[in-house]
Amino acid sequence: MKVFVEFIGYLARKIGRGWLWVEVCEGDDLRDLFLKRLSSWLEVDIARSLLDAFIRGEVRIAVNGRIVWDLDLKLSDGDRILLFPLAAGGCSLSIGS
Amino acid sequence: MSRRLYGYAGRILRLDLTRRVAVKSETGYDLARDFIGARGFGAKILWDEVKPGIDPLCPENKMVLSFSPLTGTSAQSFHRLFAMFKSPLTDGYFRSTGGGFFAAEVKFAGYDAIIIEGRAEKPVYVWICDDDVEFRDADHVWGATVDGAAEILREETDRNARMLVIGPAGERLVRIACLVTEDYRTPGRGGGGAVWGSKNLKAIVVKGSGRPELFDPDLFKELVEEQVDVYRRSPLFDAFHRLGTNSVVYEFYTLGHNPTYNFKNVELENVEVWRPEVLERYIVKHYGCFACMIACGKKWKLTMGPYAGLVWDFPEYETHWSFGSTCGVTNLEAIAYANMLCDRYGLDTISAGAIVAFAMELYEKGIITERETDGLRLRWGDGDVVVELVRKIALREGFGDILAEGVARAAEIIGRGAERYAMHSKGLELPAYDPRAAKAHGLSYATSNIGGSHMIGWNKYEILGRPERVDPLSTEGKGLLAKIVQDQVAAYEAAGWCAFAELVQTVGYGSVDRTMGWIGSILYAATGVEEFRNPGYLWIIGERVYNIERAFNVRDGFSRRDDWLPERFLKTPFPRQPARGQVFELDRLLDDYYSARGWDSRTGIPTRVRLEELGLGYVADELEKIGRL
Repeated sequence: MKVFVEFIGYLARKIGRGWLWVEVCEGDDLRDLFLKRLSSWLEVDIARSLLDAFIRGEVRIAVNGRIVWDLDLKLSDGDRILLFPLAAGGCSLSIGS
Repeated sequence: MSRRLYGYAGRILRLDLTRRVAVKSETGYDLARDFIGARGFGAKILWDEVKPGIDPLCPENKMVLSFSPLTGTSAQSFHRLFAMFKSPLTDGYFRSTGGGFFAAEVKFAGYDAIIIEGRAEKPVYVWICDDDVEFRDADHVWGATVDGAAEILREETDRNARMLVIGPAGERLVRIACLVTEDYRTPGRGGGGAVWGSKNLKAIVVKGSGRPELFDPDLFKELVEEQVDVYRRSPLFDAFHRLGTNSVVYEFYTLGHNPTYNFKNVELENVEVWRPEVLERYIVKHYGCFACMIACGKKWKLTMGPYAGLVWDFPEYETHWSFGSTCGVTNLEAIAYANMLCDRYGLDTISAGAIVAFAMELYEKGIITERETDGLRLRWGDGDVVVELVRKIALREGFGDILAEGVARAAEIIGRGAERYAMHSKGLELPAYDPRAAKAHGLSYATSNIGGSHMIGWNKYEILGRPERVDPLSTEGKGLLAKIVQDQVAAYEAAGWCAFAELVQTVGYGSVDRTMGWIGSILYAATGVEEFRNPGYLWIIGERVYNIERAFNVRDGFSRRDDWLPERFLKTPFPRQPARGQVFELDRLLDDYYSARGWDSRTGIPTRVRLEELGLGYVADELEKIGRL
């Protein structure tokens, strides 16, 4: 199954793309998305930095328009996952090296 | 002997336009202690001086322009201009606010507030240069756009003067006309421009040379340094600085805000152009208001299409929505052009766009046709139609004359079921959030004393999940949450603070309590008023301001039946993610809200007990005398 992952604002600039479709496995949760799936599209340290920024509260995640607060959320086929800095214009995140 | 007030200019200026007389009086210690300033002063003075039942466009209406003891100091972002008046749009109490440099300049000239009353026999402007106040003929600038008038008035007074001006819309008593500063900051909502137009007042021009004296300059400096540090560390700072409120257009659309097609809220095609990376490309300059390092203002340059060549203030979040999403328009050039027309004609952008969307839906439903629209085909998504209707509204030309009355009155004039599509509360057009997707925020739309305003109770808990997480779709505890935010905002605005800046600081601190503690400290350092040191006292002031504003409306006949939202929100389920299937549970939420406020839940009127607890026994006495309590 696939999910649609979108990066906006500062994140899109830093990562160099605005969105991508990512293949995920049945039973995957958001943590798996960052640690296992996104790493095949992005550099490993960028995927890890995004996860850390979320944990610090500097990046927010919305799944199908609902803000999520924990990483245990199970993913479903066609989920639309939006990653954005708190207020999407930019922030002083350190993403990647 | 009265006690010394620091921070304040110490005087209130009364402009009697009928007699062309200016009277200065002392800023009272009790007024300052009980209401701080800015919105607080305006609420109290309007309660004291504006009689119930008057027509907002008659000479007996008054406008209070008022400022904070922190205005004109180095404290960041406390330099807002607040305008309070009885609104020709809502027929009730109104507070409107804008940024720029005007407020600080009035403080430098030596005034904490300006009370405008009466009606000039013919067009005038008022030139204030410190102690000197002159009423000058304005025939030569009557009819001019804001920018045209401002340039002439600068030449006649002082090149560095600051000013507040109305455009042709205000002169024509367009009910959504606003006041505009020389740098295009606007106390935009509620029709203040029409109030000036009814008084034949074109402009107030001001130049001042004084500076407020502080009670404890060392402590004050320390607190400003702390504020600067918190701003810099706040995760919101870069976002607001980089793109202003436009940073959240795409994000908020995705979260179920930024309603589309007159709140039908179906998916908006081509919404990707709202992405911040796209919007940033238009920016050619950043700028800010007096003493605000956030500098959220942006100049945009258009290089393509029929509006190429325009360099103007960018359309911020609400304007982007009003001429964009709610009209189905994603043509950024047309949105920017409509925004410019509003600045020059002196129109509230939120109401203007909301009115166009209303007309577009009437056209879609066949309630109006080209016969009534001067031949215009009001199709969703047509940016050129938006621009043309804005011009017609501002000049009351053709079909624009009906729309210039605002959606509530226009719906009555048009009839044939048009009222079902008039998205307003108490006559004020609703802004860029859908009540079904954020329940406490929606409750604030319904209960706000000024009608459908997003600023009176902007619910950061629901919308940002900060400083605490709250489920926006739940109804649990939302009465209390709406009250808390409304009281917070009233306290901050009595201190003259900018709502965006407050967000930056509160998110930086991670706590409302720390923010309130800091405000109390800096107000004390500025003024020497001992009571301000107690954050609990600031909460009381916020609630006091909110209640006296409510009482103003109660005295004018408002009650629970006016705490209302259009049927669309109550009966039509929200059609898209993330609030799909949601409706707004008005009655249940109102009961919860009145209970949290300690008001009579049957009538929505504050109780004597609550008013007395807030030091408003005199308000209770008057309401009782006229049978409203």
